[in-house]
Amino acid sequence: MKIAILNGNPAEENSSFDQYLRNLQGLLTGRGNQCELLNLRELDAGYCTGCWSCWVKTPGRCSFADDSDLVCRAVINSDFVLFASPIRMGFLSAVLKKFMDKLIPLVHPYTTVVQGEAHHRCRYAAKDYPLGGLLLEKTPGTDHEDIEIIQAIQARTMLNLRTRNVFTMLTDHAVEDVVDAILRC
Amino acid sequence: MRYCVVNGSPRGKSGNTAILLESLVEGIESTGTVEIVWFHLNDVRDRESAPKAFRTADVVVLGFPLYTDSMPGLTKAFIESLAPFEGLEDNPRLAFLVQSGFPEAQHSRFVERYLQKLAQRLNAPYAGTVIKGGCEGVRLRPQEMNQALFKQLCELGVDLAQGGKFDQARLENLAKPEHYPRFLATLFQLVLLLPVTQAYWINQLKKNGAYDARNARPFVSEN
Repeated sequence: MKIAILNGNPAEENSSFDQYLRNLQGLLTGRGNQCELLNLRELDAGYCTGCWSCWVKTPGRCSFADDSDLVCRAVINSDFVLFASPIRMGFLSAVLKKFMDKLIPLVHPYTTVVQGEAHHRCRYAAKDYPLGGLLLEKTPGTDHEDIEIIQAIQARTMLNLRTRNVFTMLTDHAVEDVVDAILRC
Repeated sequence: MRYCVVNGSPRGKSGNTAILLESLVEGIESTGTVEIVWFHLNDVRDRESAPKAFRTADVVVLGFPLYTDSMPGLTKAFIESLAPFEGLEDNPRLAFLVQSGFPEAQHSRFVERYLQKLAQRLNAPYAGTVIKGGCEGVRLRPQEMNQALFKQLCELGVDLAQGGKFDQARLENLAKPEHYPRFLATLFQLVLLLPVTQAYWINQLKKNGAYDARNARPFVSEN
């Protein structure tokens, strides 16, 4: 199985989050999987500017040709993508969101109807889009409703990538439990 | 009353969010003497000054385009800069505007729930969220075609200035269509297969000499 982990931890000081993901990567690799860990805060990319060049000038890739290319390539070539983030102000970190915004080259500008709603058409073959999972770290003040809100929005984002969010887990869980959840997919 | 209007659109002053916020502000200004301070987060200087100005406002209006089902990364960074104000008393009243390219309001309801919770997190009175779909055309079409939309936004601005929150019935009316009835959805699915419905994109691709590459799949090998 090919797995990509998108590490949305914005703060180097939060070393326990990074360590958790390294352990996860180690265990997955040890069980015969290919696992790429991308530390998003170390990548070089600007915010999506909404120019839509990735749809109408350089179809399929950001015209700024920054490190978001690496992330798009990893996502579309994986069987499973783990979106990992400490919760910040009740949501995924800005750095993770920045790179999620930059996944739009993976779909077409053209629209179609999915589950009764307008959505973008797939650029790649349906089988190319990976399943997704969400790994969150609670912060002081995080409550059940925050997690529900994040999960509901993530389900929408995955629908727009024509795939689904298979699980939402917290770093309170043992790393082995996350490994099992991924390998069950 | 002092209003801070924060435009979270990466397109800044030239985008649809700015145009919609301007109509809302016009309504606010029509009610009397108010102070309006604008922040466009695509401008690095405004990005630095907006969090500092937050607590000086009576009302903060935050507007953004829907990016992959929530706020753009740029807007999320602004929200994170408000973390020091979590738990403080006397935070300003919060009003939001979310516009999307998708025609239905349904897509924006999920982030609306987040915004409501954000106000609660900041102990801030929640004035409501203006939601409008089908907005990509706003900056492209002749302005007279936007008049009805602008008028409704103006009225919402008056609501906010006079009553401290948006009128619920007006919000619901503006948001239409909330979603498509099932039978229409099936029809649209067929209609959207007609090239004419995708003409905007096809024309842009052709104009840029990129039409032949429109189906490019740069990140997978084709074998």
